[in-house]
Amino acid sequence: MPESVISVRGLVNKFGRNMVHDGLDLEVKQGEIFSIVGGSGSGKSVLLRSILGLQRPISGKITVLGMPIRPGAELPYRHWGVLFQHGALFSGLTVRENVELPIALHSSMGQHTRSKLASLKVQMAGLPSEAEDKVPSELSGGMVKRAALARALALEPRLLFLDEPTAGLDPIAAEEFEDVILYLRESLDLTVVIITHDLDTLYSLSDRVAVLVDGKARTGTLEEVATMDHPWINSYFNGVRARVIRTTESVV
Amino acid sequence: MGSSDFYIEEFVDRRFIVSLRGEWTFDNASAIEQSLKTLSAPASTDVEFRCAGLRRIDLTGAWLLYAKSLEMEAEGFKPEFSGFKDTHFKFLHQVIDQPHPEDPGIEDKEFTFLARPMAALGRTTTHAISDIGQMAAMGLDGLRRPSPVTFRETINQLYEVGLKAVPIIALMSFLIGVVLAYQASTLLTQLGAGAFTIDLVAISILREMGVMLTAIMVAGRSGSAFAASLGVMKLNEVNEEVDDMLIMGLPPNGTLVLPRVLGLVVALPLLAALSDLCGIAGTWFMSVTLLGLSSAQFFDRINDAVTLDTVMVGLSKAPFFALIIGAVGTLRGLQVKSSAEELGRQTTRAVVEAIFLVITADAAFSIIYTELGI
Repeated sequence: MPESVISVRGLVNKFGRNMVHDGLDLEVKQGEIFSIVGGSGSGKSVLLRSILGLQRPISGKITVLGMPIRPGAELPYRHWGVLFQHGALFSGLTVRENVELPIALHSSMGQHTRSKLASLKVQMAGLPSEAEDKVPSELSGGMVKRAALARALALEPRLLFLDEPTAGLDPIAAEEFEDVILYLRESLDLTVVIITHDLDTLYSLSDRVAVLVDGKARTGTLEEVATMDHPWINSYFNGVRARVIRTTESVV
Repeated sequence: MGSSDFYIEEFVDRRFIVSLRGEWTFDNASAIEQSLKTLSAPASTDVEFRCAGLRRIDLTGAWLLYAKSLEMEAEGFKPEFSGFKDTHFKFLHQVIDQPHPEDPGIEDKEFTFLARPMAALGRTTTHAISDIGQMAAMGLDGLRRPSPVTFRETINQLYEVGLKAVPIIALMSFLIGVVLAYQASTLLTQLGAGAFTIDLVAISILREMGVMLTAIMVAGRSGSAFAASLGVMKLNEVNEEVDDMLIMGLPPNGTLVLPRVLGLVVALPLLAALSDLCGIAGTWFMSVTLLGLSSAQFFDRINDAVTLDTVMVGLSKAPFFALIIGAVGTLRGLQVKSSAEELGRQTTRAVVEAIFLVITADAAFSIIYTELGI
């Protein structure tokens, strides 16, 4: 029985009269790639922010890597990495300095080792070494994502969050990105949580999926979820685009 | 034979064997690094790393081991590995064996002591020239292609930089009047010239202090606001507002620069006039309370000391100061490109340079007016 890495119990989030989460339960297990999907405004980002301790829920209990999550309390900084949707790189630092920062914060490595290790991570994320000394504004969108991935991986995290990792990437870049993530999962024994809109990403990466509808999460494998009886789920998984992707996958 | 928490060294059949143990992970990176420094094999032996006893190894640990093996290879050994799950290493091979670009050579050291400052001077000069050119281009472009919202934006700016500054400028000028009158009367009375207090204070306020302090206050208030707000619009990745204007056919110079500069050019003389009034009011307040003059006597003295020219000399400088503050503020804002730090730096520059240039211009005006005999 794999241990649970994230556990969310009875999460309630409300903005004014708008109920975003209404007793949401969620369980992510060690070593899996877990995707969260849902329509606009279904509370994907709020869920992520709650799990990361950036948002105080009205009620509910969240545990990540065995630590209870409360805003303002100690968080498992050392063991998680987050790739925010727009990269969230520090604009005044070069790519390498961005990656070095978490290493400097959480280890006593010497300057030289630290910067070598940061270069390694940058290359691991698929960036050419000449990108290391650039600042984020000199990078393309795809490169920013890769640099942010390098930073998220800097501390050898056990848990990786990816918020729309392939949004804004062209299909080829998105596929490369997915390869990097699959490779990392294989060699580093990561647990990965992905928030995505991208059906390709969903089908090529996920072990299990949670669909956010009506303030709750419906969880299961892709096959299980795709056959659930709910209007939004039906139109999402049985729309033309989804069918095309599934047939091509089964042909391959 | 040495050993540490992370490996045991031993000799077996002329082979130098390093048996790895413990946790080769990120958390132990410094300790591993330290202990690897002491690891050195006797010359001309075979080296073998045995990895079967490892409890855990992550990418950082694998990398440290790999780096050590490369180092030993460079020393002429041929390290071998056994019992290693090769996923980490295969990857490291791919990554590390890529050719690295060499560091660019440092230029000839002999002349750097001269070349550096000269280069810096050259850079500053060319930047200054290009700044002036850019300001002129911005202004002319704004005038040539005013945007449909120029008028409305100008009114908006008049409210922001003009009306909203009224309370602080009124208060500041009143207090300046009070302080100047107080200090001047103390000093001039000692010299037996107490009667000239009002002449001195009125002339200094109307000719110099009123307009200059107003300009400095406005540079701090609005120069910084111009630079910061335009800078945020320019920050790419955050919001590409200026680009968006361009593709919509809304000329940025006419929309962003011109209204701000025009607003200041109109507002600053009015604020300076207000400052003059309040400064004189402060002087009057001191004269009536401290010097024991009546209001009638006070205004008699003012009438004698001050002509319309005195006031006009002061106020005539205001539009030029406004141009300086507006041009510097908007230019520095639009020069923001990449980072949050740069935004802060350009905002600081906008204020500091505007104040410096205002004071320089004031000195120039002072000389010109004196030469003209006004």
